[in-house]
Amino acid sequence: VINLDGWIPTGIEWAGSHPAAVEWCFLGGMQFTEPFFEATVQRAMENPFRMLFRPQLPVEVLEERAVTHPGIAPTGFIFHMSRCGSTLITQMLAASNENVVVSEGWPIESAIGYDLRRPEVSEEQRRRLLRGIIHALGQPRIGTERRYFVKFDAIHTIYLPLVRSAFPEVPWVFVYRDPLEVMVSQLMKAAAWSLPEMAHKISLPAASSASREEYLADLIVALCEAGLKSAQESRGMLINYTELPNTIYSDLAEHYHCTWSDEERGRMFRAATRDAKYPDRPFSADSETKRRQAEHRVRELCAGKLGDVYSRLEAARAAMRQI
Amino acid sequence: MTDFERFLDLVVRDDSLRDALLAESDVEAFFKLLIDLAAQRGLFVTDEQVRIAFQGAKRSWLERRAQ
Repeated sequence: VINLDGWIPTGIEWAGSHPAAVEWCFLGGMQFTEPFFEATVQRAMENPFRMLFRPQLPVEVLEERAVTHPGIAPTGFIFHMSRCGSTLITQMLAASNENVVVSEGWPIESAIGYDLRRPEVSEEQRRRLLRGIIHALGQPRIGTERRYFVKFDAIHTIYLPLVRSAFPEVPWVFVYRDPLEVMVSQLMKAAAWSLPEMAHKISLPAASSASREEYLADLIVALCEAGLKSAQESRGMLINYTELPNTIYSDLAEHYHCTWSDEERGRMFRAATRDAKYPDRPFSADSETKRRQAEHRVRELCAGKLGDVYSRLEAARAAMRQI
Repeated sequence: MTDFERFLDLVVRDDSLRDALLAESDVEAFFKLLIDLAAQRGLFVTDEQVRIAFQGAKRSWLERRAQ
């Protein structure tokens, strides 16, 4: 019998529409402290044992383990439109040794996928795989953890209904920001999912847009619409970038049914003083700089469809939170 | 199944063996340790087998990251 304590799934091998095997990697007591899951696993891969021993086990092992070793029940999920403070939230949460925080874990991508290559995989199958991956990643790493948070990739916001159906009891948030600032950030340094050459992988109706700016705007609108729709249907919480970091100590904690200890609040406060994506640097506000850098066409888009969905997000947030 | 494959299978089932290998961070020393630990269990693993497997693991890892 293989003891998978300390092992995490790092991906699913597909044989056509069939999930043939799951690859596992031994993390042991390594915590997910880096801003992104990928960086933690990359750190793990510096060890030759971890690089060489990545057994591929039947997918049934993952699914059975979700039942026999469910780990920490997810405390809260984070969805977002990208470049909007979501990594600040995860870095603040990860500052506490009582939290397991998985930030944009690519095994989740391999379970639910945003591509069109496997449209024949049923929703139920994706739900089972997602549960398996989420539970396998949510194991205590050092023994002090009692809460578990998952930040999804921005593009996974379009799969919010699938995630909600797999984990109906888990409270979630959608984080957003003034789209002008998000657009400038993405145009300066694009996320992989936002590139037009990745359009064939994304089941969104935006792929035929004319320019890079318009394509990006369509994607961001789609993410915001998905977040807004789900928030209105279920118990999602909408968070504007401007509310960070203070809301983490108040409304977000309440939404996740959490009470932070004084020590945790201190650790979170210190984490918030750092650049979330480059924690060795101090945080520096960049909203004004981004707004100044916006070109005419981006401003037009933000005054149009992006501005429209942003206004509706703000109105919904005000209504839900009685702001 | 080759002796090397038997050893790989053994490692994921034996925590003490896993921990011994995990403690070695130097790649060259790791290869030697693996061969020695396999030999102690009556399994014949060659240096070439380990190097090829390691390069394959690195390659597949890079490919996964690029996906």
